[in-house]
Amino acid sequence: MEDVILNVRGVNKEFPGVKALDDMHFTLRRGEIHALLGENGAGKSTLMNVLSGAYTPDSGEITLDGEAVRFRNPMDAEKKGVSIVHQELAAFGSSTVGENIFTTRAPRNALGMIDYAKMYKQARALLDEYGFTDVNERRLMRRLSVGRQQIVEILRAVSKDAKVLILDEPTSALTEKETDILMQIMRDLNQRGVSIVYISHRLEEVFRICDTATIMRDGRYIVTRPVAESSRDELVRYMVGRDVVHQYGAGTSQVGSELLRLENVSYKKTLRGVSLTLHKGEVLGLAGLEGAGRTELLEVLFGVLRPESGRVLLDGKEVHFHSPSDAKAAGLAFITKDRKNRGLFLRKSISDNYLAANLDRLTRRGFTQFKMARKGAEEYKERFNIRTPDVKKRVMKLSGGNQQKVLLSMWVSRQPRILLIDEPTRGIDVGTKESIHQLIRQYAKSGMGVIMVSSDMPELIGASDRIVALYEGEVTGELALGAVTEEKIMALTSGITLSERVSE
Amino acid sequence: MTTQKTGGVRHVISRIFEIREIVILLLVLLLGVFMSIRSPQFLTARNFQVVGNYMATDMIIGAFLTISLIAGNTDFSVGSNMGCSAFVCGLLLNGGFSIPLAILGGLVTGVVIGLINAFCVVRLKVLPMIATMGTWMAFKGVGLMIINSSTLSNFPRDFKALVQENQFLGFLGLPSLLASMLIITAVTAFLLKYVSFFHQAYFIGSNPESAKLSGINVKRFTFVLYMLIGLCAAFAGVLAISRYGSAPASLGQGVEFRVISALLIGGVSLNGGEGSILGTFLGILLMALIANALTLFGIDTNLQNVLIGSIMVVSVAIDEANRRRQN
Repeated sequence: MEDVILNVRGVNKEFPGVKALDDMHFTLRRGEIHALLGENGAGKSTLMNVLSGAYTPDSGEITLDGEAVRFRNPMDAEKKGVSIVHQELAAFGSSTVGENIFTTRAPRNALGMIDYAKMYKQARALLDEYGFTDVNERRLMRRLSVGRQQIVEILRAVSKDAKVLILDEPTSALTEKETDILMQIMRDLNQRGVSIVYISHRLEEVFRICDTATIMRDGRYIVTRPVAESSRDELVRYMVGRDVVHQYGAGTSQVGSELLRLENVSYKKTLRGVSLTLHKGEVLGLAGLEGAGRTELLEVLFGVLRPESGRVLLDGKEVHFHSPSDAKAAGLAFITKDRKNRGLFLRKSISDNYLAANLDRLTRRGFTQFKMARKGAEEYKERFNIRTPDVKKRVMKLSGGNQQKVLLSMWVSRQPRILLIDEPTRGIDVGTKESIHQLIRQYAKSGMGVIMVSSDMPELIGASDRIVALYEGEVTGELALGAVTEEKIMALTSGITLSERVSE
Repeated sequence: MTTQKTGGVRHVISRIFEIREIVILLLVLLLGVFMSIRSPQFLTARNFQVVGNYMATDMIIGAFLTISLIAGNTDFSVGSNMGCSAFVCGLLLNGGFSIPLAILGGLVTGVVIGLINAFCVVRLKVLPMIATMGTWMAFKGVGLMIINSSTLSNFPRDFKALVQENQFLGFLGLPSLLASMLIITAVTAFLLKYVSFFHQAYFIGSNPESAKLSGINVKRFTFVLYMLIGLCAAFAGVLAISRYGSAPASLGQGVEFRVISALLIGGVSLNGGEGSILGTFLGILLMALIANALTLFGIDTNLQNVLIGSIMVVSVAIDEANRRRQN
């Protein structure tokens, strides 16, 4: 007999104009780690919000431990044993780690006063239990790295005696090492009898840790498969609804003369004597762990940070960028990985975002040319296949993949000569990923240069014509197309083979 | 070796500058020592009382305002509230109502203004700054209308005796204003640290969305706090007119900016999530000492505003610098 802990049958949820869940089914067995997969907009988040009590379904049945349940709100769900850790961090930055774990459930003494000594003792015990002996329970939350904060969030959910734990893309902001730790916690919890629903875009992780995978598309249940018996391609096919032969496009463009050269560039402790070159038509991949200086390198090139020593040469001539506007004027474009906070104007329309990037060119005698902006935005909407009925729509209403396309179009529309792009497809679904890679390659083929930072190994290997590896701010090696393997990159970026450099 | 030593000292200094309360305490001590050397009147019981009286109404208003501001809700209406509630109390006294009833009338006025603030913020979803700036103006007008822009005086002797002869809380052997201030300071400090309902201010202030998700009733908190602030503002108003024996039309004007700047000096962040009652107390103490020093030396007291304004901006700038350095 199957031991089912959570069962969802025929659940429907409609929002004005959208059927977010359509006769959805989902069965979670006791003690398993169950992946929930689907492209952005497939309805995963809606389902999780229904399961954690944030939404009430329009119809359908949810049973927990064999009993029909109806969660009134997230607190109600928690009381009954279903906890969720949201994708966006929900930490209280100016409170301590201990306070974050307990929040309103802090132990109290006989007089109803918060018993701090007891609270910190319990927090300490919990941290020790999961092996985080180096996390101080009295430290302010905002002093912790994002990964550590995420772990505290998970412990907070665990401390509520959860029977079912829902993790909504917990690794999207984590480093590789932190991801490993998270996987370990999940196994730990699993052995303690906690059943886990795991949402992630990273299929590698699903194969590493999950027992079962349920795939959904357009708000509907598609299939449930044991992970051990499935292949990556099979899961992707179910998610996308068609065969995806991923063309990253490395080595398909004509590499021309030198465009950009860095000589011994240093910045504080994050970059130490970095030298590299970029050619016309080339996509140069930057490999490295979090903190290796990849983002800083892009920011130095774009004038956000000022290098302390070393030279930057554009077309063989030395340049000094004092600000991003200098770099922009010289024909550089920088696409940040933090598109929501630093890249886009979320509350503005697609057309307004386009206008913001091209304001100088769309001004005539001091007047802003809104019609031209709209036309330009329409043009890029077609060219980049941005899925929206109207360019007047606010960017925040678009899916992550379409937002990324908007950001890309804003910069590409300026026709820069060099495109600096940081994590081009983070948090983006498989189908859209492919088209973003095509757009980048198309751009490189027109004779421009691209420097791309990526933590996604298949992407880095598949899309780069050449890869430069960084470790603690130093270039540890360079890998030409054809010579690249995941192992070589891992070795170079973790500093293991520092002595035996791989040369061109 | 020497570089290491300075590095160590620098580290200790930078750590000290991270804790606002210590910085303000050092400023207070510095000023205190300087004053006691330069002015023979400074270290006298009489002068202590002057400083205490100067602080009292600000601190009474600032205590719950600190908790509310930690949760991210400011209140600019406190000055008008103080005036308006005092005028209601004074009118009732002059209209022949008994003293307890008149005081009650004043306090109820304060609570009602707080309730209106909470209604605008919670139900109408108006930003706290805008909502309370609105009520600040409106109740300034209401106050002046009900007293016809003239000074109320001729209060019953027994009412004036409450503060003037220290009858209110007289059993403590302390001046009434001082005793009221100390009690409110101690009680709010305790509430903020040890009672969950008030302690949740930190959670609400640092992340309102997840505060809601972790089961905190943010709306109820906001209502209760605005009402408590209103109550305390009215209480300060009643104490003030008992002390002066009259209610000038200008009563309470400018209090809101003075108190909020003291809070900011004391480490409360307008973004929410940070601050303490001790910090607020020290901020208000520093302001009182500066005013006291200028008076004792016979310097133009307008210099006080120049100093307070500068200290406020500098202390927030130090905070921002710390934050940048940590990131």
